[in-house]
Amino acid sequence: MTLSIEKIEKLVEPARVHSSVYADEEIFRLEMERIWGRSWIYIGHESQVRKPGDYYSTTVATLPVLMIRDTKTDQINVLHNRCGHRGAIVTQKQCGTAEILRCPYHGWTYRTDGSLHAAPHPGAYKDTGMNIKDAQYSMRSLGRVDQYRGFVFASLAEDVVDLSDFLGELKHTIDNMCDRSPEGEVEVTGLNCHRFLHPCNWKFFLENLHDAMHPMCAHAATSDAVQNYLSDLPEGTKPPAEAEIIDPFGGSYDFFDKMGVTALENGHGYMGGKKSIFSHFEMYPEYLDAMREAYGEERMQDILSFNRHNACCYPSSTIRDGIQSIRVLRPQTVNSTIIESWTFRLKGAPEKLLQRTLRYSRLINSPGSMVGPDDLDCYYRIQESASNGSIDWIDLHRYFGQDQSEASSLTAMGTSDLGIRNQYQAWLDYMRQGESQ
Amino acid sequence: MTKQKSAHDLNVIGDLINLEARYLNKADLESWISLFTEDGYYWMPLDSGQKNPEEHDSIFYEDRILMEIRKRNFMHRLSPSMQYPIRSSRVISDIHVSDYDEDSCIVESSFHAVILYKEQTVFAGSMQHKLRREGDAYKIQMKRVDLINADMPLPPIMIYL
Ligand SMILES: [Fe+2]
Repeated sequence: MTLSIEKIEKLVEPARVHSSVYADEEIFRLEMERIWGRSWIYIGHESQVRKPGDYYSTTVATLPVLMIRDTKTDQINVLHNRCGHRGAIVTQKQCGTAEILRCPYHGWTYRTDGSLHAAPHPGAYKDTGMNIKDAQYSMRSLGRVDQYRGFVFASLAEDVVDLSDFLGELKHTIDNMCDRSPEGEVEVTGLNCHRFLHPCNWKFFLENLHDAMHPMCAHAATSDAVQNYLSDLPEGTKPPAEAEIIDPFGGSYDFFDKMGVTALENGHGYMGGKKSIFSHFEMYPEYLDAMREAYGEERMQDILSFNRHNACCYPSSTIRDGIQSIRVLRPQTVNSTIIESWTFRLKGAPEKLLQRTLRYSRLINSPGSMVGPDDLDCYYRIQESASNGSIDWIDLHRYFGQDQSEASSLTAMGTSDLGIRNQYQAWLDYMRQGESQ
Repeated sequence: MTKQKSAHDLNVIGDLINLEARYLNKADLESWISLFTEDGYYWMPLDSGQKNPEEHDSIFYEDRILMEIRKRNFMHRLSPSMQYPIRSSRVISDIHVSDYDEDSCIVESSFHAVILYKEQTVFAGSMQHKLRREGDAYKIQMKRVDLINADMPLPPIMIYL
């Protein structure tokens, strides 16, 4: 039985949401169909599939898909990873290279654009009324596939706005990550990423990126440990490189309020703007030289003073352009999500920047980090309460009714719940579309 | 390293590897850190083929500074994730010297570590210790842990394995 639109609308109020949106399996199923099935989902970066035939497997709305570079056109395709014959998953490898994809069950083979290459013993289909050339027997492409500066997105549905319109203002965040390279390009640091199991609903993770009220509390232990270590050092010792990364996690409410939060269309948003949790990072002279040479002084200053963090590309990814990382949400069930963390190398930049990117990833995003498990444990606690029915509503009132309206966005004090309220506006917009589409 | 007749006593080495595991089983990070050289580090790569911790992401790559910070963070009263008991038990086998020179040697072994954190979880894989002689004893210059599931979705890893 599908929940009626009237019932769904009752779950989201302007400044609170019903706890069942995190715990109800039917709602999760509808989210996969209406949100994850009808928006552009981040798949991966083109540097993961450099050569023709290179592929990478992942999921969209829990369905297995394959990003593969076409051997004929060199374009990147995103295909449903299942055989057109009996539906078996074609490849179980995380990544690899293939000129022809072959289903191991009955040996049907496919080209890198998903079209059927050959089905063994084709005579057996003669006069059966089945035309194996029919597109339904291929490894079908997703509804839409496109990329922006090497970042590949796909949509299960065909009737979605163009990727460029979907991303809107967020294109500047992607631009900034690329422009921080003297060559204007980034590449993945490796074919593997952190895969951090989150036993909670996918929305907790996304909301937390726009929750600037939590670091000083949930991460107090880590910033205290760093402070405690620093205070034990002899006076005048240069603090270790980790300190600049952990420091903002102990920032005051005022520090985060001044940073601000901006809500964009389609549920997107970002923290910071003029100031971010990266703006105090040490600027290496050799990097500035390379940037100045590539862009000139003025353009370089523009690029490096672009200070956003935790840009959320609703619903599937969050981007930290200033530290060159992307985290990707892969929901599994209503209370299980895999969080991928990818790191990127700025082409043409000194190694020191890569070292900082990797240091950040280990300190904040790795399953072995001191910071990530504290976030996760907080989501887990709300998940428990939402699942066991001990709460009805989850609050979103911080700085409610005090948003500033800009051209196509809203801004507020950094600790405002604006970013989360905005995600729920998009949630409602998607969920209202019903079954008709 | 150039091979010479080994002056490394496997009994002494085995005792050190077991002592290190015992300190972690007791969550005695203070004593554990003291087993490392000043330039020592702990590394858990993301890829088993990874040659260098500075070329790609790692699950852990920590020098003495980070070990000291982690020691201060461990079971901190303000940490939500550390409100649960964290208990562990490690079993190490097949300890052998794979390479050596006069002052140092590389010791390989395999391990199972059972960690209780919310639920009981098994981690397993291989370890590589680079040991350096300092005075009469050895210190750990590098400990590398390759999990058999490093590239799979992982729960939080709350203590060094
Ligand atoms: Fe956090």
